[in-house]
Amino acid sequence: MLILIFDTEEERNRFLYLHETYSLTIMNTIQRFVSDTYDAEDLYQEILILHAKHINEMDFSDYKRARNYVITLSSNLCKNYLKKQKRKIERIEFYDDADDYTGEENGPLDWVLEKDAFENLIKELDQLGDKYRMVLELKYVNGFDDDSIAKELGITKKNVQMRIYRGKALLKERLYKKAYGKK
Amino acid sequence: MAKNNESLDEIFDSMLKAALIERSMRRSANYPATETLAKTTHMSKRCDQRARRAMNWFYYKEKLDAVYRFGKKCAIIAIVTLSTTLGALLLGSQEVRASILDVIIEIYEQFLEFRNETRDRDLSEYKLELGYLPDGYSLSEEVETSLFIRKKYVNEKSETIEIWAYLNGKYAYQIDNEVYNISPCNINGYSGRVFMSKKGGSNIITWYNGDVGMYLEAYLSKKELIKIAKKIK
Repeated sequence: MLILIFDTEEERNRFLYLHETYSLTIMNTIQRFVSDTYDAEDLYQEILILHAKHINEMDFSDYKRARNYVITLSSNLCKNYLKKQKRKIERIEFYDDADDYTGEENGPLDWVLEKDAFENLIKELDQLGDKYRMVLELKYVNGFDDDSIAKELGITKKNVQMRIYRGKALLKERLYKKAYGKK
Repeated sequence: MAKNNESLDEIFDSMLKAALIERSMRRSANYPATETLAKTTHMSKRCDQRARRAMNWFYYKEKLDAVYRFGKKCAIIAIVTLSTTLGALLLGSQEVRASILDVIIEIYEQFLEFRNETRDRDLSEYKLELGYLPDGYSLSEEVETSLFIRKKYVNEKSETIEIWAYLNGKYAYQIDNEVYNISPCNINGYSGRVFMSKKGGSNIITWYNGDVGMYLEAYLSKKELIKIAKKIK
């Protein structure tokens, strides 16, 4: 325990490393949602602190994964920030490929055998509302528990659990409809 | 069927997790490379300094929290160890045990109930006689039932000595804890209790002599009471 308390330099380096390595990625993500420089800088501080709180859940050894973690968490927090501020998203994410989704209806056998299920699920995730996708991403991509999600989004734990449940139910319903052509 | 549904749910959850990760990875892949970001994304010096200060602050806060948590654990361990050691040491002492017993008896409730069990005996086998009677007292009342023998002695001042012997089965009596000072005593090798009145009333001795439960009440000193009790035949 004493070693943990006084193990200073390496720990401090981790926090600074987080800022030095991912500052531009986080800022770039923020600027996709918030155009005002001062607002963006304030939000950056908040998001950085949150990353620091969950630093042990980040895998710094894998740059791609860590970057993905940072981007997912940052964009979800930006969306939540905007929602809290009751402002509309000022810029639409350029990577949003929801329009590509054509909604073709294949039979259930094809749906499974043609290995489309996974792709369909990704497309359905694009179609899913932010409200549900945010909690699912924070849970499955960022590895947050229900309490942490509730705290960061400013909602109750029960609400988080309900959104996860409803999000999954919506996805299942849509996939089922897609596979069998009916509800 | 339920198990089947559970398995399907688990498969769906795994697929969902994989799809969410894959989706976010694809999004991240569309992000500009670090070199491009350096050119396109601007972070002011002020923001950079604030972030460094925030990280330092966060680092020290984490350390302080760790020290606090560690200190709290140490304090709890120390308190538990000290309490256990002190308790063990104290309970090793007879005086402390006796005091604790007295305290428990005193605080338990105002009226103490003493429950005793005697052997079932034939009443005719037992005769209650006092070997010592203080001067001036004479027998005024004698009652023998299947449950007890009671004798009452009175002097000229109408002060009484009452002696009860409970012969059969179980018996119990209540004593007002706030009126009496309670102390242990020894009657011919048997342990008993002396109840000395705080308000100038009668004093009582109770004990069990191996066969019967005994109860002696009189307006006499503790010494005299014990003398009477020891000489009961």
